[in-house]
Order: sequence, then C-alpha cells, then structure tokens
Amino acid sequence: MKGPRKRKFRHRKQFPELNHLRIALVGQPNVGKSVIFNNWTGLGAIVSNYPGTTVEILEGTVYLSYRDVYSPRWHPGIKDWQPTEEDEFQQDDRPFRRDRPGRRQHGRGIGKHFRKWALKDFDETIEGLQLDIVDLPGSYTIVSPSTEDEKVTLRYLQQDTPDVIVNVVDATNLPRNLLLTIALLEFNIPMVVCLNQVDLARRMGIEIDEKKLEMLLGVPVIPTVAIHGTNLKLLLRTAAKSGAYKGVRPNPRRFLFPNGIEAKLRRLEQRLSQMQLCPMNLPLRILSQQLLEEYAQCAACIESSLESEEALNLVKTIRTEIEKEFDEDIVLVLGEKRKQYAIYLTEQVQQGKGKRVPLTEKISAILTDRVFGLPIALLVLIGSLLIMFAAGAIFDATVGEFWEAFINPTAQYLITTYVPSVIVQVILYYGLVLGIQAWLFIAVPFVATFYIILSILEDTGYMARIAFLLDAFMHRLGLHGRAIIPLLTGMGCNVPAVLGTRILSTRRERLIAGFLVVLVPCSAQLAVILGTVGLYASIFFAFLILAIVFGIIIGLGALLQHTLPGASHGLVMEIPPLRTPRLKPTLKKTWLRFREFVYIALPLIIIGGAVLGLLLYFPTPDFSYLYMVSLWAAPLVVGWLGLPAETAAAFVYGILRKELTVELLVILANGPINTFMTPRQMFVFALITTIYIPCIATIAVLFREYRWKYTLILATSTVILAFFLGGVANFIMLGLGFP
Amino acid sequence: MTTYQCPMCGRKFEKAQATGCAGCMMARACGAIACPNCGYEFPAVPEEA
Ligand SMILES: Nc1nc2c(ncn2[C@@H]2O[C@H](COP(=O)(O)OP(=O)(O)O)[C@@H](O)[C@H]2O)c(=O)[nH]1
Ligand SMILES: [Mg+2]
Ligand SMILES: [Zn+2]
Repeated sequence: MKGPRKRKFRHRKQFPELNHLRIALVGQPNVGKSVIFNNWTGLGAIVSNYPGTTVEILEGTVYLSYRDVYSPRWHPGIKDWQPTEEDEFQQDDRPFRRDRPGRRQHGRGIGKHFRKWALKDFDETIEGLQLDIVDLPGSYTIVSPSTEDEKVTLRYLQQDTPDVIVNVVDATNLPRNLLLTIALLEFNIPMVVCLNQVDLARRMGIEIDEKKLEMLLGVPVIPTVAIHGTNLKLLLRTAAKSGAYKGVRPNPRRFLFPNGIEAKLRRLEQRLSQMQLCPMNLPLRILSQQLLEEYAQCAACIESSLESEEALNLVKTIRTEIEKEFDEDIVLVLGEKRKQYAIYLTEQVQQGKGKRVPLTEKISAILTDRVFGLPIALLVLIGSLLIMFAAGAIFDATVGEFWEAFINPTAQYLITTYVPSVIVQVILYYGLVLGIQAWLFIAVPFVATFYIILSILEDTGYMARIAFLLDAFMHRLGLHGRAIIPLLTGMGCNVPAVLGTRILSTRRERLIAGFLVVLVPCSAQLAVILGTVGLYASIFFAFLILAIVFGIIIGLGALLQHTLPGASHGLVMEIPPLRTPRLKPTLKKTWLRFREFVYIALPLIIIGGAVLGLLLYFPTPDFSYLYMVSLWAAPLVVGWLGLPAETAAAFVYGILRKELTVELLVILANGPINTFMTPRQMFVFALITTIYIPCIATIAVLFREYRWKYTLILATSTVILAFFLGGVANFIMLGLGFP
Repeated sequence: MTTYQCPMCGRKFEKAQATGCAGCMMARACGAIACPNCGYEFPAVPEEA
C-alpha cells in the first residue's frame, strides 16, 4: 500500500524517541516575538508567572507532522566559511558535540521534488510532533541581566533548558540585536535566528544578506515578516528540525575576544571547568564573563564551592591584568569588544544605512502598541459612535422635520378623505406612513452611517489591528482564545458565528461558545440601539449599555473558560498592511450590508406597523387588543421594568429582528420617542432589547445546530437575564432619581 | 479565481473555502461570506490584486 498513511509512518520512524520539543522565543523587547508566538499557537496560549517572579511567560502548543520535520537535507545555505586573514575578528567554530559527525545527506532526483512539494504546506491540526512554544520576556542582554525580565530569561535558559532557541532579531537594528545573539550562541542549545521585520528594514533602505549572516553565525537564519505571517511556517519547521536532528546541526560560530583577552578568558574557563560548581547549567564562558564583570549573582554561587578562594583570586588577577592593559573598567572593555564584533558582523551582511521609517509603519506601530493601542482603539470606537449620533441628529433635524411637517399630515389627509374603510385606513397609515417613517429615522441615519464607518475600518486594515489588540488584552485578562473568537465574529452576524462554533471539538464547548455568541449584539442591532439611545436619551447611556454588554460577555467568558480544556488550535492572524480605503469597494461593501435593511427590514416594519395599528384600534380604540395584552403584561412591563405598557408588543415583534423593537417604538410614540418615554425608560428598554432572545434567524440556526432543547434553554435564559437586568437597572435608576 | 481577505484576521481565501451562511433567512442572497479561519462575516467584495 502506498498511501500517505504509510509515508507518515515512515517519517515517524525517523524519530523513534521524539515526541515533543520545547521551543523558546528569545529576543529583545519589541522585535515581534509575541506576534510570532500568536501566529504559531493561535489564541490558545497559557499565561503564567515564572515561579517566584511577577514576570509573565506565555506557553502554547502547535503540532507539526513528522513528515515536515523529516528532511534528509539539512537547511540549505550554510556553507563552510572560514575567516580570511584580513578579517578583523576570529571566531570559534569548535563543535560542541557531534553524535554523527558531519553526516549530511542531500536530496536528489525526483525525491527532492517530492520533499519540496511535501514541505510546501503543512496541516497544523495533524497529529504529529508536539511543539511547546514559550514566549520569553524581552531581554537586551543575558550576560549581565539587570531587569527582572532578563533574569527570568537567563534562568529559563539555564534551568528549563529548551530544546531549541528561536532568537528573534529586529532587522532594522541589527548591531544591538546581535549582542544578544552572540551570547545565546554560547549555550549548547540548537538555535535558529529569525530575522524579523525585514519589510520595515527594506523600506528603510536596509538590505541584509541572510545567507552570509547564516555563515557568519553558523546557525540557520530565516528572514520573516511576522505581522504578515511571511516565512513563519518555514521558521517553525527549521526550528523543529534543529531540535530533531541534534547530531547533524551546524556549528555555531562563537565570538572570540581579540587582543589577548581570549587567552585569559580561556584560562579562567579551564579553571572553572575543573571545579565542582553548583548545578547551574550556565555556559562557563558566560559565567567567566560574569565573574570578571563582578556580576553579583554568580559570585555568590562560586563562593559556595570548595576551591572558590583560588578561583576568585584568579578572577581578580585576570581582571586587573585586563584593566591595566586597556586602562579602563573591565565592564567597558568587554562591552566595547562585544559591540565591535556586533558592528563588524552587521557591516559584513548589511547594505545601506537605515533611512527614515515610512509613515504608515510608524502609524501601524503606534496603533498596535501595547500601551497606546487600546486607548486609541477606544477613542476610535467612541469617535465612530459620536459620528453616528451626529448623523442621526442632522437627519432628524432635516428629513425628520420635513416628514413631520409635510408628508405625515398630507398622507393622513389623503388617507382619511379617499379611503372609505377604517381597517384599510389604519393599515395604510400605520404600515406605510408611520412604518416607513420609523424605518427612515432608524435605519438610514444610524445603520447606514455605522456600516460606512465599519467598511472604512475594515478597508484601512484597522479592524484587524483592533482584533489583535483585543486578543492581547484578553490574554492579559487571563482569557484565552476560545472565549474570544465568538466575541469577535458574533459582531458581524450571529448566524455564521453560531455555525463557526462547529470547529470546537466537544459538545460542551460548542454549547458554551453558542451561548456567548448569542449574547453578542450584531452590528446592526448595536447601531440602532446605541444610536436611538444616544440621540434621544443620553450619549452616556449609550456607552453604558455598550459597557454592560461587554462586561457580561467578558465576565461570562472568564467564568466559562475554566470549563474549557487548555490547548487549542486557535486563530492565526495575519495583520494586513495599513492603506487608504478606495471609494468604490467601500461603498459597495456598505451597500451589500445595508440592502438587507431595504429588502427585509422595511417590509417587516411595514407589516409590523399595520398589525400594531390594528391592535391599537380594534375592537375599539378605547379597549383595544393591545390594551388587553398590556393589562396582562403590566406587572412585568410596568411594575418591574417601569416601561409604558404598550412596549410589550414591541418586545414580542422584536423576535423577528431585534432592531424592530426600536422602530415599533417610534410607531407607538407616533412622534419623537422622547415624548413617549423618559431617558430612564429608554435605557431600560434598550438594555433588554440588546440582551434578550436572539433574532429568529439565530434561533433557526441554533435549532439546526443544537436541537430544540438547548435552543429553548438558551432563549429562555437570555430572556430571563434581560428582564432581570432591566428591572435591576430600572430600580437603580429610580433610586438615583432619574425620572 | 476571486480571492477575499478577511478584514478581521487577515486570512486570504477563495470563495469555495468560505464557510456558508446556511441557515440564515437570506440564505446566500445577503452577499456576505464568512471567513474560514475566524468566522467573521463580511460582504463579498473581492480583493483587488
Ligand atoms: N513592520 C513590521 N512590524 C512588526 C513585525 N513583527 C512585529 N512587528 C511589530 O512590532 C511590534 C512589537 O511586536 P511584539 O510581538 O509585541 O514584540 P515583542 O516585544 O518581541 O513580543 C508590534 O507593534 C508589531 O506589530 C514585522 O515583521 N514587520
Ligand atoms: Mg511580547
Ligand atoms: Zn477571518
């Protein structure tokens, strides 16, 4: 049998012992470690404090099929390279350890093409080699760590020795970043250098020869653009390979100090290697440098050793020798030499000096900044809502006034004079005149404006940045991916979001995600409800509703996530570049969204208006059906919620589409809403509308996905939750003295 | 082949890969497609190369 199954098995056999690898992302702050981490592990990361510290490290898991790890051919490009005579710096290329010395196989013939094809794309969900990814805190140096973050990084490398180090390097600032790389090469851990942000570097006029850097460092160098996801899969595969093929990895070329410092350092190293040191797994070379630089923590460690006296004396002697020779503090001497080496390496591989950073990149960096990003997003959100309110107010003052002053009276006159039947009169007036009026007042100013803004946010690429920020924010709250995916997608429309919960593996997870989705107001609802409340009651109330809804969602997410198991194949994000939106596609998008309001919402509101009119006028206007229903619903609607009794009808009709409640309210008011309801009443009404029963389309899809029992439970519980919160809000506001 | 890019997560995909809005009242007439990666629904305006 020649199926893929057999092949997979064959590749598995290449690594009989290998089940999982731990890969640590190490780099200086802001180089893009977290972006890479998120791309690999999706949103399902676990944040924890490193034992005994307040420093957070992130851990996540991703699977790689063995076929992707297995490749007889080593990473291409590392050729043997020897420094020439005139090269300023010499390097140490003694191997650490070679289990299978120098054996390299090269792919040949058709097999080569097969492997090339097989490695092209990998399926992240396939069972295979488990890769545990760790995002270590940003560190400028690990030779003499000063911040808590740097200490944790060093301790992690010593004590929790990962199988592979992925050193993320910022291509726009190579010299500073290489300082860390040089130190990391001292560890006896397979390493891959990720040359990140090459897009930015290129735009700054910096070209880096990664092949040459690869030769100079002796470890694979992969150029990447983390925010676009470029080459990140290759990076992951290379890292996995480096860990899997321990024996045949290339040799890191370590840095040798010039001018006789090296010989002295070696002497110290030799001496230390003879001592029984504490079980710290620190490379002696780094330890020697730390001792020479009087880095406090390790001196204490040496002192505990038996022969410490002699060793410390040796350290002292060497230190004074070097200080005498260079007539400078040893910290400065060693630091200077390291820096020179980093600059030397940079000069060897880099062409062009950094020019200016393009404006869009600067803006993009600020927009996704850890500190400023969220406040900016919040401002954008508030600004968008204010624009919506303003559009509503302008529309109300112009078209609204015109409708009230001319269309409405004219239509009323025409209907009463030319239509004989009262039933038809009511249907025409309530359905056509008031219905269309309500639709015009609500749908056009709020929904249309909202959709225009939404399309602009999407087309500029800012939407993806908000998602990215929100994801990071959720991580900080301790919420992992599964609790937030529904939140993001439910905003668009609940229906596909419910369908999207299919990707979750267990039924319980799907139920929980379904519940969350239903609580998320879709964008159309949100626009209508917030717009109306903001315009007719108070802008503050609108924001309050928004805050309450998201508070509920985040709170529920936090509560429910404990019941969700840890590892997940989460969402992979690729942030698109910022760009100016083009008019036509943006308008087209807006129309595609809005036309639903023309084709579906408008007929519904006309029918709803007509039915409402009939209920209001029959059997008699004084004792109508609506009045009877209101009497029946009064304890709840009036007593508990403090709303006008007739609003019960709006709640019932709102099941069809939630924003219909508000439109029906306009019809009931038969004029400006704020004469019909007080701000307190509008707030309570809007709060309930936002939370209560999902619209009929969502119910239908819930039924399809979960069957009637859970659908019923879900619908009932949202209704109970909504009416409970509405009542609480009512009494709180009454207590606070709102009319 | 027309490709779309999800404005929420940046995933580029083709129409055939889009998860449907089956079960929705508008069926597929709403002109929207949902991202196969994150599920976000947006109007099907193709990405111009
Ligand atoms: N232009 C560009 N920006 C990037 C790239 N990778 C990351 N960034 C940006 O660099 C900043 C820092 O990224 P982050 O992952 O938080 O860095 P960390 O501190 O190393 O975890 C963010 O604003 C990213 O958007 C890249 O490849 N190109
Ligand atoms: Mg980070
Ligand atoms: Zn998406």
